[in-house]
Amino acid sequence: MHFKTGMVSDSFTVKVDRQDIQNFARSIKNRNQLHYDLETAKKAGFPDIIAPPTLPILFWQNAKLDWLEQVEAPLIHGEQKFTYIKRIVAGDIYKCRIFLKDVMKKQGSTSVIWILKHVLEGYQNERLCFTSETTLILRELDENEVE
Amino acid sequence: MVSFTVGDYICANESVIISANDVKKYAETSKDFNAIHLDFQSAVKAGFEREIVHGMLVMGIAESRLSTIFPTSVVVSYETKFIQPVLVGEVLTFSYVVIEEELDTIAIKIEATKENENTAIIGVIQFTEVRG
Repeated sequence: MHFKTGMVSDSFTVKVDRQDIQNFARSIKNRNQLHYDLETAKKAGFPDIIAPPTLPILFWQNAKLDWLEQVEAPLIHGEQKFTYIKRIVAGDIYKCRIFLKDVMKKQGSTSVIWILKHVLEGYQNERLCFTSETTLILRELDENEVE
Repeated sequence: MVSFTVGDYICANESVIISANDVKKYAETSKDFNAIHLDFQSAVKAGFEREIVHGMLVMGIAESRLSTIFPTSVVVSYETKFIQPVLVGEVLTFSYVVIEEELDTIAIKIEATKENENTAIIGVIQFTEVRG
């Protein structure tokens, strides 16, 4: 396995649909009507329904991360942070990229542990709108664990 | 103006059971079909007692309660550490305590506690434009 700080994905575009927001909000048991109902959102002063703050985790679906392609061991989610400069609403389009901000390799008692801090950035008109930091923990499988 | 002060609980603690069906729905929405969430044998092989809940599902549910208390407020940041895995079907109890407040901004410590009283996740969410 080869991970290096600074590894970066190609840029990818994400369009946030109302249905994405509604389905996601439902899946996390969110009952705030501003995530579901356009009229409620407009009455509250928003141009469209608003996204829950954890929504950008879905944007990983649009990314191709070469450095994780060959990974067979389960990835464990260690930490997560979202930071907002602008709120995400339905209809928004973002240009995104994911990069490896930090890589740590540790020798555990039985195997090598990688701690991989990723940052997803979302831009509109080249202005940063939000970041999503995802720390993944990977324990290298022993040879006899690989099927 | 914020009507909470440091040390206040935002709301009563809430207990939630995240079911296998909840995990399946979240997997479909997030396209995260990692077998440790969905398949007993894979979870055991990875060292868990049984299937575990997606950390992001726990993080999302933790925020959902606040979303109805501060529906129009702006989330400035939201961060969590996933300290211990949450098993599918396990009772989780969420607590929300104010740790900072100033003008229209508030920071809340979120903690999810497992049945065995160990902490599953711990985090901080910061809102602005809070209308208490």
